[in-house]
Amino acid sequence: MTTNSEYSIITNNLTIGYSQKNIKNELLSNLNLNAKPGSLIALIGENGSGKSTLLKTILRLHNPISGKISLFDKSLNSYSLNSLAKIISYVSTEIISVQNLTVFNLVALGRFPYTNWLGKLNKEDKAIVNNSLEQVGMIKHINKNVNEISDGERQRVLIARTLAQNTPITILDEPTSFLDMPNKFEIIHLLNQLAKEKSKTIIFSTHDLNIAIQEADILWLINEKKIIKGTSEDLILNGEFSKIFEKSKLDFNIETGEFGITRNLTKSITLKGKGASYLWTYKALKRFGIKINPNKKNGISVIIREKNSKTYWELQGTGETKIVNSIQKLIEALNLITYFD
Amino acid sequence: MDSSKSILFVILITLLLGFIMLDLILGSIKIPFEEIIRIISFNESIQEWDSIIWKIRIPRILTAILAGAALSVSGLQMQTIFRNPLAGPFVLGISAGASLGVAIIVMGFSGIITSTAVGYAGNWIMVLAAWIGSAIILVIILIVSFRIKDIMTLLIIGIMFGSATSAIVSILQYFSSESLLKSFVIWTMGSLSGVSQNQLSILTPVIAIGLLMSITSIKMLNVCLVGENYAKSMGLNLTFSRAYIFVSTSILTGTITAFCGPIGFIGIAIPHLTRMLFKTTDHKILIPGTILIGSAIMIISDIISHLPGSNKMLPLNSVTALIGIPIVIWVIIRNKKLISV
Repeated sequence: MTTNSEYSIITNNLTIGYSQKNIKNELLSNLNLNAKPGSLIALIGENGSGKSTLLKTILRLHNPISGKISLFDKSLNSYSLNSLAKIISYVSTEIISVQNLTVFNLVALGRFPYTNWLGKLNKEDKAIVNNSLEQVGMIKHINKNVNEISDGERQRVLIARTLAQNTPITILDEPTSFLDMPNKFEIIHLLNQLAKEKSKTIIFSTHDLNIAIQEADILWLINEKKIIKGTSEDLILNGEFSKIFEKSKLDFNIETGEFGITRNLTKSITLKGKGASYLWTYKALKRFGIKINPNKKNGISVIIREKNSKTYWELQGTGETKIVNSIQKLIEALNLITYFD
Repeated sequence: MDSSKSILFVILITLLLGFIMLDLILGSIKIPFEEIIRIISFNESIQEWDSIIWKIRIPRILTAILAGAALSVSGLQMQTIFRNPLAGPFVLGISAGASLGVAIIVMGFSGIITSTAVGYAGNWIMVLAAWIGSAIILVIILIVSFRIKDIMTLLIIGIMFGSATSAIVSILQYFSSESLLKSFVIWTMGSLSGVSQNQLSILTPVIAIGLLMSITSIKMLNVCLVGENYAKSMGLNLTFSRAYIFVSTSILTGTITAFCGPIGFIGIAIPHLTRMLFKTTDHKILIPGTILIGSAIMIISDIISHLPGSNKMLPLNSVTALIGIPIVIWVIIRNKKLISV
């Protein structure tokens, strides 16, 4: 086993889950994971696969069934409560909705391990809180109530709280689950930047595969009580990524990097065109159960043409040529055709 | 602390002093204002007036201050730790436990209390019985809270304990003599007048210890607001903090209940009123705030219960309920949100 201090987290034969008396419910077994400073790690797995439990076990909020966890070459259990709080910080799935709690006070809680018995903030603490809010772009909301800001803003404030806690490791449990698309990307991108700039180890669990693939340095993929780890690109190319979707109707397109429901495509046509208009026509046709067959000589074909920076779709092979100016009209026209070769 | 909060504190202290003065002046026996000033500045006055002020009114006012402060702080601590706006010493059955302790001493072992009622031993036995009664309920709540995370379940269990103790008290009442029964029923109505100068020498240090414990738990209370997992991840020793806060609540509520009877609604209403006035979640401000407001409201209740200008008295508990319930309803309607503290 490696005991090199280049790792911030190492697990040795870690088995996690729930044990009550003699009944053991193992969620993940024999995990040998490691994480380095400066890397953003995405934990991916189905609901109930043990994502939250693994994160909580690393945070010592939950006891492992067996195995060992070390943080910076020191056993997790050897840390005192206070020293652990200076090493690892947490953003949970719980929604914090406390009346009259200001953004400043919430972030200031991150100074808990550093302040005196009364929790009094000195000048330095206040500067750290301000600086943390600045880094996540939330300094403008410093005096607002946490109930008054949006979900995305609240998530940033919670990340600022971990910055105020000033820990080399940060763990976030589904930080993007309530957010809209732009916010999801922005939050994970922010985590990526923080990991790089501050040389932190940041681990987050997520269901947003597209974002994880694009932003995370390392993926931890949960499949069949095991974790497969690697960069997203390696896991895609060696087929590990597709494996986790074998059970479901979802399939992963290795060429486009997209996910979709596996469809039964019964009809086929030829499609000619290029660029974005080709891609989106292709997607729309797929949704309506129409396959593109480039080798087909006769039958129905659609040609995409551009004229005066407007796009037209020419539908051929149904006797007369039909020209439409939107994908919606193209689909309507195709739906009228009963006979596909 | 910003200036608006400092101003608020000054206003509250002034109001409290005003109410104390009013309570000194108003009473069934009319004493001129100048004479009161003479008496409280240790000058010679009419012997009868002197003893009314020093032996009746001042002990009663001090008791009101201690009771108001103790119950309000207990309520605040319970609301924070259970993260429930309806929590309070009364709702969780802590007062009911104290009542049972006193009922057993007064009606179950009537010999003890009658023979030593005037001495220190009798006081201590009452304090001890109420304190043990409330501590038992708290320990049960504590044990249950470790097993059951759901806050509503805990609340229901607290209410059930309250009902169960009432049932046992009913049995005791059924078998006890009329005179003992009456003394118990009067005790349950709540009174600030029953505490003598001698008893104050016990009540004051005990409440001071309880309040000191709550002041030293300010940091823990602040971090408890965001929930158990967050608190732990920031280095809070949850088991110790809960036990510490429960012990201080038990000392405060149990002791006041022993001397003054189960005074209701102050413990629930005052923390809400304080949060509304100070618009903060910081217990560094909330604890002194609840102490001031609790004392002031208790003195107002005392003035009202003495029906100035008449020889009759209202039960203190009816007065505190009639003042406290509108505050609770007002707060709930104004905030429109019951879930978050």
